[in-house]
Amino acid sequence: MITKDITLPSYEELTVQEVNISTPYLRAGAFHLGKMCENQNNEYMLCRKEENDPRKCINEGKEVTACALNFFRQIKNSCLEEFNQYANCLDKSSKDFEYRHCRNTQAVFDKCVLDNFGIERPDFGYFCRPKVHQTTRPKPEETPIEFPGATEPIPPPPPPGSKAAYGTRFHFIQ
Amino acid sequence: MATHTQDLPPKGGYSPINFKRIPARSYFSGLHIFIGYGIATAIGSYAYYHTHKVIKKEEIEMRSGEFALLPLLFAERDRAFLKQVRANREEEEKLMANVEGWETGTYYGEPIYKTVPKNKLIDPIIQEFYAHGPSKALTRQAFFSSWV
Repeated sequence: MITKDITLPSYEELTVQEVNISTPYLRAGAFHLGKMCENQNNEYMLCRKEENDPRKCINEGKEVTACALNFFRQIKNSCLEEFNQYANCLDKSSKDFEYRHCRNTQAVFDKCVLDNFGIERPDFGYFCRPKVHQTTRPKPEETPIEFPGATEPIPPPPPPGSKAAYGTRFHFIQ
Repeated sequence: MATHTQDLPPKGGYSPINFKRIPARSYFSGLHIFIGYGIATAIGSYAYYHTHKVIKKEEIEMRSGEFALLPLLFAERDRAFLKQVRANREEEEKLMANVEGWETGTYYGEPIYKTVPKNKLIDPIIQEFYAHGPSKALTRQAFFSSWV
């Protein structure tokens, strides 16, 4: 169903270096990553929601991936040991990487990130809250769909209180 | 000759039948039981309330962590999706090159959607997305939630 009229980006446009790390490590860095790349993430998610088309948000998506890659590189340079320890704890403590089992290693990792990057760990529900994002990208215009040959819409009902044109069916009410 | 003696009650008569009711010893009165129930429920509710708050907090934290990662995962997945869609189209062009009257993405020139704009990308159904790959890829993806 993908016709030739549909423009698709080329493979070169779509190929960037991906973040090739496993789930425990992603989960371990999630909060600081979300805080550090908040602007890019919000921009991308807003674009995705507004445009409803993956083709139009490729550049925003690339920025998200680049920011995440940069974050994990920085972590690798500065806090590798603490990060590994925390991710290892998450991995081995529960089946779905629950944070509650690993508060000690988490505190060590948080302190390292705070000392090196100055990023404080956001509170527990920070990313669940709705956010207002300021963007320079114009809002896409919605074009109403036209249906040729469609029936005319039903005329609006008369305003309340007006008299019925043909009276009522029951003469005793009048 | 053996003498017959009649079977009679013992001398002095039978002992009296004990028909007097002996109720179980009661430790609590009804009022005390009600009060105890109330206290136990109150303590339990208090403990439940606090545990519930902690559990909800932990659930929110887990969800928050997932939300923080979503943009990264979506970005990667969108690119992979577009790559695969492009590969599918090229594969179809190659496959149907010798079929007369065949137009890619349509059934001999008849499109699926007539009212949508020409350039609109609508997600293909999953069978079509995996049409040119091994069936294992389709089953793995389509029934992922069944076997995971």
